[in-house]
Amino acid sequence: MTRPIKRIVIVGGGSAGWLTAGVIAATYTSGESEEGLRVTLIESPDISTIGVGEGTWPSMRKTLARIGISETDFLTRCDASFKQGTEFFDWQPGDGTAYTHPFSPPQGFDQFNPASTFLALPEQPRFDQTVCAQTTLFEQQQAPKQLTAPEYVGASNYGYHLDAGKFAELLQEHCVTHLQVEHVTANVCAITSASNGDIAALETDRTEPIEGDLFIDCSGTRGLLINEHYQIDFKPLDHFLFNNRAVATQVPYLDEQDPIASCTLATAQDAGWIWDIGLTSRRGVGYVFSSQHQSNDQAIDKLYQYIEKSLPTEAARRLTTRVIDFAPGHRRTFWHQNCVALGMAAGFIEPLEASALVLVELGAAMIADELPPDRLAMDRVSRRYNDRFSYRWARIIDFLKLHYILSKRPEPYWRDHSCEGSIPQTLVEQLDTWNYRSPWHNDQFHADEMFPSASYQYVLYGMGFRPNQTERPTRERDQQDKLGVQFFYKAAQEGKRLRQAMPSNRDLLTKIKAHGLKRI
Amino acid sequence: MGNFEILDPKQHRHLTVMRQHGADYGDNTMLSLAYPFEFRALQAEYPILFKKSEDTGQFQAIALFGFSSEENLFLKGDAWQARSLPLAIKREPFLLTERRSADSDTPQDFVISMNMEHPRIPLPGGDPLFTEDGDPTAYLQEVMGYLKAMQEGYEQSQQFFAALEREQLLTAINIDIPLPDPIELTGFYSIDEEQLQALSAEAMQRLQQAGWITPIYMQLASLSQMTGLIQKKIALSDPSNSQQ
Repeated sequence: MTRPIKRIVIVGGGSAGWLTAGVIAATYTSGESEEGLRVTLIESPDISTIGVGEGTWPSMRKTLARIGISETDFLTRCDASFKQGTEFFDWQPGDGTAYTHPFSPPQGFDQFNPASTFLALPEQPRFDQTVCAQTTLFEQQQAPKQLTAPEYVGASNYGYHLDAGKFAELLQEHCVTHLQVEHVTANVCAITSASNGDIAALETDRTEPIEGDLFIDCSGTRGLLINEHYQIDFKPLDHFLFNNRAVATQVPYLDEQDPIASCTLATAQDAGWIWDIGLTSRRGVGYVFSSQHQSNDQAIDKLYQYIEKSLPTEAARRLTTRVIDFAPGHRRTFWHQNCVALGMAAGFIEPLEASALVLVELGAAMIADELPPDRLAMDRVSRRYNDRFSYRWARIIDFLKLHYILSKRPEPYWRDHSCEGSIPQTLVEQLDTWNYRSPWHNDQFHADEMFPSASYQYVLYGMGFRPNQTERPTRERDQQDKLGVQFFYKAAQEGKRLRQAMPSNRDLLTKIKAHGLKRI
Repeated sequence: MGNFEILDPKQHRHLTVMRQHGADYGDNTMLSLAYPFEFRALQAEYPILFKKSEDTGQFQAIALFGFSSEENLFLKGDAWQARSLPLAIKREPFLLTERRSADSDTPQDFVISMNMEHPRIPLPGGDPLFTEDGDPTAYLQEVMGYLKAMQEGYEQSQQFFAALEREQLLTAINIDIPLPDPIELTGFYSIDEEQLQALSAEAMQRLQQAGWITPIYMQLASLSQMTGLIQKKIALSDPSNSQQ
């Protein structure tokens, strides 16, 4: 039972599989040496990956640097662009309501909670624009950094929009060339079990059986190991978050100099919302909605109407759309025996806060950082892993749901979102708390919480939430308000500076393609 | 910005260029480009640092004259108090421009242009560029020599920095100028001396064969000029010196 963990086998060659391979293989020495770790990735030649344009969190910068990929290579190879947050349109009824959730926290957030001062302002300006400098960069599609900034360093916090198919290709090349990851192209056709119920080896249609000590299931929704082999229970989430279908398309730029949005645009519709992601080569646009509330035809029509705002009707209606069905939810256990599921094999939820890739990054990092030395230690690690990721999923659900329940949109879909039974109890309690005090650092129970309290504030006050109980007066209130006004002023000044200094997303990406960014 | 015209013997036959130094002639600049083959001469006077071009993000070397955008501490009236000047200063207000045909991206040849808005041009009493016969004067020939050298310097720089990047010899430096109102210069880079000491014999040999050892050490040596530059700055802000 104390068999050392020396060979890791990953099943699935999408971005989840290759990201995981990259993070693990970049952490440990490989090769044939006694202590080395062997990483093998099995990819089916017959299954194509689901490649829609995707958004990442700022964490992707650290992940890519950890894997050893240069930012210049990444940006150019994956048609990637800079994402600085999300802008939400029409999430409240009325003409052109909008708010943003920028990646940078409010000015001075480490020492000052802006909520009380903001809520007491005589006219209610927009929360995001008052407390944070970054939002102003969204308006003119400006970048978060200058050409002279080193790789992975920004003037404001940023992640990326990327082409997931090209991303998997780049990761594959890097993993195989630089990190000694063994790439096997074959279909897994049988699983050999050990006497303790572990997976001992995978039999394929074109290789010898592939033995391993730890198996990572990145095979997508099918869940070749976690689902088909271990039949781990699936925990559906569609009673909280109804979206279970998407119609997606790719929208060309009319001119190759067209601006590239520097945030994800999320525009609410009658039964869901439309994502709009600007890559350098095209936009990825899709309508994610609830099939209970809207038919495909209606949804496709909504999508076309949206695209017609930026493309001639004829051209818009000629775009081919793809329907993607998904069951929102996740495995009840992610790590079972010597098998851990990542990516869509572990779970999937609508991309409202781009949680898919970040969950892979977090999962891969935890596997790599806490890699058990032997089989005996593995059960301890897997218990911690399951606890942590169950908690993370719960927080994702709470945070996504928060976007919906504060809306006053009249359509049945939106009303259903406010139904009592559809709101997780943890979120109900949070809302009750926020009625007398604002989200703050003490809402965080873990050091690496998925969403910091800044994110809750952006959505809460962006959606127009106002506490229904007056705050208990504190002795420091005047002092706090004075500090608050100073920070609001600072945010405005910093915004002005950024607007003047930052190039457009398009300009910067074009120059990076021509000249590259420097490592330092 | 500027208004650039291609130098033309007919059109610019009577044009003259002032060759004195001073703030009035556009010398009030805190830095200028410098090329590796100039480092030996320049390091005797100026700190040589590296910075990234704002247009391309590529590294380039500069000689430092001051600590704010229009400050040149080497200027005293119409004298530039140094034994050597960077080519990039000496060639003003001329530059080489690539001429491209309309349908091609590759440069066909180089022509000399000049910035007609440069303060050296509109003033009377300068040196002529062409003789009565329309031939280049000795002055213009000298300028052509500078421009040609700069073009070579540009290519040399690209190879130099490619080598420094390959061997990871560059490091970002923040320079704190200890004045009553302290100044912090950011966005500059230098040779990483520790990294240089730690280089493998093979890497060292590569640098040596390419001829980069001299400019590397010249840049490092030039950093000791920072003290002199700071002293110039202190002397300038000290009222007891203002009568001299």
